[in-house]
Amino acid sequence: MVLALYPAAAFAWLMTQFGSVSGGEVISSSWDWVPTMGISLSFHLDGLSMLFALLITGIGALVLTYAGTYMKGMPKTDRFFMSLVLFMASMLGLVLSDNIISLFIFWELTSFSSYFLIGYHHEDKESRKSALEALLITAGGGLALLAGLILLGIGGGSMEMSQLVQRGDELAESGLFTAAMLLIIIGCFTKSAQFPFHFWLPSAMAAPTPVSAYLHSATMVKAGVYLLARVSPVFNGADGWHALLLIFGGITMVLGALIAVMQTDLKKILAYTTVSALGLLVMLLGIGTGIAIKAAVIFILAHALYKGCLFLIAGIVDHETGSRNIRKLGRLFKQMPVTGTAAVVACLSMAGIPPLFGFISKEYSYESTIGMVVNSPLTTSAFFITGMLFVAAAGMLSYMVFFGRRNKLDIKPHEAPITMLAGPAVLAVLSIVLGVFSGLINPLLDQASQVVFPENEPLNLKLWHGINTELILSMTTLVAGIAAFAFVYYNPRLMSMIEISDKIKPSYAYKQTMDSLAELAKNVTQRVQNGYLRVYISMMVGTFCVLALIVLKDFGIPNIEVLWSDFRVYDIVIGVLMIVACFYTVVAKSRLLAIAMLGVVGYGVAFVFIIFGAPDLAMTQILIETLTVVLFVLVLWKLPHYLIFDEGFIKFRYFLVSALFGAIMTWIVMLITSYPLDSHLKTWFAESSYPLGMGRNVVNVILVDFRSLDTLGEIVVLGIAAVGIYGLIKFTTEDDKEEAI
Amino acid sequence: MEDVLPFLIGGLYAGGVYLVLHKSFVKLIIGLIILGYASNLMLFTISRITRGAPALVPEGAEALVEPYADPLPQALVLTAIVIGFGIQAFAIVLIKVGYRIVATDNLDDLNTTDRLDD
Repeated sequence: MVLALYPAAAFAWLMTQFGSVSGGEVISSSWDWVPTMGISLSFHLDGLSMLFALLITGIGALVLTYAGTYMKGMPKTDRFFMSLVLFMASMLGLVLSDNIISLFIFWELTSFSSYFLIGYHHEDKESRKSALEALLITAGGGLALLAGLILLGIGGGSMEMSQLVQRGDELAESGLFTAAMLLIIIGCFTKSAQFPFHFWLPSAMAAPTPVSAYLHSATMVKAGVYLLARVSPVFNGADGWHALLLIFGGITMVLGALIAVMQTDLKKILAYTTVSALGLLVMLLGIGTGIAIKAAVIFILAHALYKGCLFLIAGIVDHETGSRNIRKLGRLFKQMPVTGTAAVVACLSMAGIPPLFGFISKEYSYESTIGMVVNSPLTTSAFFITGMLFVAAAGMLSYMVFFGRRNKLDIKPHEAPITMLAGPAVLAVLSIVLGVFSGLINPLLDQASQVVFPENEPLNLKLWHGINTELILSMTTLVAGIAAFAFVYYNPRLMSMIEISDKIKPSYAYKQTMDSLAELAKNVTQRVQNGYLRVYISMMVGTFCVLALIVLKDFGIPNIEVLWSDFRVYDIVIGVLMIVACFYTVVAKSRLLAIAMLGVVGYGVAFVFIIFGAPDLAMTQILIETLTVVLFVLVLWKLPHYLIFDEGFIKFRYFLVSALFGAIMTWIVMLITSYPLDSHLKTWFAESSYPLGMGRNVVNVILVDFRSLDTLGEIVVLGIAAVGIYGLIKFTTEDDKEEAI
Repeated sequence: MEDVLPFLIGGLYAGGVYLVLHKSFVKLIIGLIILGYASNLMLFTISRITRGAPALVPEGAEALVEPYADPLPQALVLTAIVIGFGIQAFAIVLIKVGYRIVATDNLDDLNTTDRLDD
């Protein structure tokens, strides 16, 4: 409840700017974020942003007030409100951002917060599934959008939207035009639930009703429409832009409306009519004429007003009666007069009946399609069918719930508290006020349409245009709609019999994709993560070899000039001895022989250290070698038979891998030693050891003085190993204890 | 011998990797130890070797007198040897205890936690 003050304050501030923005001014401010990449937090308040910002904050305040009562007594409300406010802020950021990267970030934030909100009832499997579905589809589309926006930025040579909209020609020349357009369209279609991505929106009705009212009717789903409108000065007139928006918008519009009248759940009816309305908006943007843009801007407002109101009413009905099934509800008007009145007003607006704001919007929509140059009859009839179904849906939402047949409820419903009524009441009143006094909102909508369609003719909202084609069409729609509603009303059986096969729904394709992805991940994991250590190791070694060869192929093999004069006899003896011992360690059939040979190799290493001036190393090596061999023999004499590979083929394969690895290491060592070494550390230690460390054995001085912390670390490692060994030896399982008893 | 050391190192690496690829836990550890030798020798060799000249400051002198071996890689290798021993000792005891519990030396029998359930 108190939270509602924040959006209310923002709304109030926006209202103070109303005059100047409506006058065509643009308010902007900017902070650098990652200036090297052209990313900044720059905000830009023009007519279009203002329209959306007012909707977000205004409806936001109403929804928060409403949710305060609605969510009372439910668990985790703190988390819920946090997500809701986070969403509100992100959505506001989205419509105000001028920088395309920060716009994208806000865009993604709305997806995330919406994920938390849809998944509010996370104990419910269906709820989790819906949330994930919405997230994957909108965030997946978000990736396309990001790519599209970056292409747009590169092609247009700017990261600021306000610059980009003026650089359509530059973008067209850069050759990135079509790619950017397609990617942005995909992103917007997923967000605004256009066919074939529309199915996430009805699923998202798993969210608490205030969320549906806010995110899934008034704000978030309109983000896609907003962005399409925002970039339409760039793409308007381009090949494909109109066709794509018209076709997909049209399909979404008709399909959504058709499915809507087949539903019985209040929220599902609302969800599908929302899908349909979004299709209508996309289609209007696709028509792209000045009048169509005006119609779109008007419809954005009209739809937000009546649909937000209806969602809130659906929530009230659900809250007070415990049911959302329109077959069970009926004759609620007496018990809930205020809710009923608001519902009737909103439905009248939805059906497009004068003097409500929805009527004006419908008139403009018809005007824009009649004025179309191509395919006017087709789009006009699509609008007609949708309009008719909207009337039917409006009838279902108001008449069947508040009048009509006697309800089949077990409890006696009563009116909701004032905090819950405030939202729908305000929105319903606005639908009337803006319808009658359309001059109030005229300047803002005019500005918004100017942003989307520069140099659009001034908008002049009027309720009464005289008797013209639009009005006749509108009235015919109304009559047909009432007939359609009567059909639905008197044939409930028939409607419930219609079932669409799951397999042709896009949601089926989504499910199939998700299932096969999970299956693929499992298969890959089983193959890669198969539990065989030797497979892991050969993969690592193999990868290393391939990468090393790629780098090394440029170097060639260094010359080896063996100076035989430099050789001592014992060098050769030791070298040969080590190789032979190593070979026997590898092939030994008995464990003891292998360990003994290992010892020989170790002592050989010690001799190499002795020869090349490292007596300390040699001493350590000899000590440790002895210890290791002793330990091995002590611990291992009771182990089972020494394992050897059976299959010669596998053996040979591993031999190849290890031989290749050895050869590459030889090559690397030779390469490194063939380049001159420049070490000032060598001379520094040579000169400083005695004066600074007071020691003549420089290696010792380094270990205990210059790098004493390293040595401390080494001691700690040994200590940990010792503790581990002690733990292992003392470790007994339950079985051991039982045996002991 | 400088020219032969790379081949010696390569041979040790090959032998170590080959052993590590075996099924036997004991061979795995022997392989690891050999890989340790190879790595120590490699570190020692690539920082250039000097025959028979330990890094000891002679009596009466303030600094090392040329020629002398580079003391820094020696210090590094010394640390590596000691830490390597810690790991070896731990691994050897681990085999012992592991064998007592699961009664196998075969790594292929020890992969159950890595497997996905079908």
